[in-house]
Order: sequence, then structure tokens, then C-alpha cells
Amino acid sequence: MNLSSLKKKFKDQWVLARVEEKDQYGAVTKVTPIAHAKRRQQIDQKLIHTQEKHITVLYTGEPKPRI
Amino acid sequence: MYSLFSLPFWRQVLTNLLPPKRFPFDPTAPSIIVPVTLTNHSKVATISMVLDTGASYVVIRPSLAQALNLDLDSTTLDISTASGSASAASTTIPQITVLDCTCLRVPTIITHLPEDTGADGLLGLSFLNGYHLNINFTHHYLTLK
Repeated sequence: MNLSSLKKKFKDQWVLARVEEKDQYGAVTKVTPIAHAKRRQQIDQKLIHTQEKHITVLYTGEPKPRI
Repeated sequence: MYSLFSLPFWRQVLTNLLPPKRFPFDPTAPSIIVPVTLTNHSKVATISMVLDTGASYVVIRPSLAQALNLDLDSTTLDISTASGSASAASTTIPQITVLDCTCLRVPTIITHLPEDTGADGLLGLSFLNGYHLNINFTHHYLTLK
């Protein structure tokens, strides 16, 4: 699944996924979702126990400004 | 350190001879987010990190440290954060790659980060030291060499 499809399907969520493809900059472009949740904590539980070799965690919402 | 006879060593030499890649960042995002690949033996994670020259260390979340099977250092570090002083666990990440730059054995802080940063860590000085970082805010790209 590419990232634009992922963002539409799991809007404003954290997604734990297996990395399938990266671009020339090393950014993830294609993934297979493993788990998704509105709360980061729920993804953390899945992340701790994952056996996948190459994983990523993506946030599909808009990050807030930092100061 | 790479061995003189290893493929990664010569790959790094070749990379240093080429002009660095221009990584286009999103000027509308609240921070500069860069893709970072963390490797600990057979475990690999590619995550988004906030480029943070104000952070002394690379910072990752505890859950990611566990997923990568990273060993904690025996001592904790006293750190200063926006909300005051704190004690934090530390580790050494065997390999971190950003664009074409790979750094081995990077000192890293493990601590909780706010959910709403949208990123999974901070790319701080413990990685950036030793590189030439060029940020072009006019044309919205950065290079790292």
C-alpha cells in the first residue's frame, strides 16, 4: 500500500507497518500495515512485540507546532 | 569504524566524492522531518525524526528501543528538557543512516515524546556532529555530507 492510500484509509492515526519500499532519500513509500490506532500507546504495545525485521511507524495526521 | 577492506567503507568513500543528495523538506510542516533508518543487527526501523540541532542526543521512544532489541547503558543521563530536568535511560544504536550518511555506534537517549509531534524521534547532535549539514530555507532542501 502506498502512503497516500494509507493516509486516506487510516486518517489521523498512528500506523505500525512493515516496510516494502523506500525512495532515493530513504523515506518509506510502500508498506504493509500491521496495526493502527488513534492513540500512540496502543501502537507501542504492538511495536514492542513485533517480530518483523524492517518496520516503520507513521502518523497520518497533522503534527502540532513545537516551541 | 569500518574496516579498510569492507564494502561499506568503500561505499562511504564513493559517497563522499559525489555531490550530496538534496533532500526536499516540507516548508509547511511545523518541523523539518527527515527519514532515518536505525539498524541493530537484523532489526531495522525506518522512522520520521525531527531534525533538532538543539538536542544534544538522538532521542527515541522506549517502545522503539524495545522493538529494536537495544541494550540499555548501565547508567542514566541527567538531561534538561523544556519541562525541567530529568533522568533518562541511554543506549548506543549500532547504525543510523540518514540520506547517504551512515554513522556507527550513536549515543541515544530513550524517553517518552509527545504524541502530537507526529515523529518518532529527534535527530540530535550525537548523530549530526561530524557532518556538514546545509539547510536551504529559501528553496526548501537540505544536504548532509
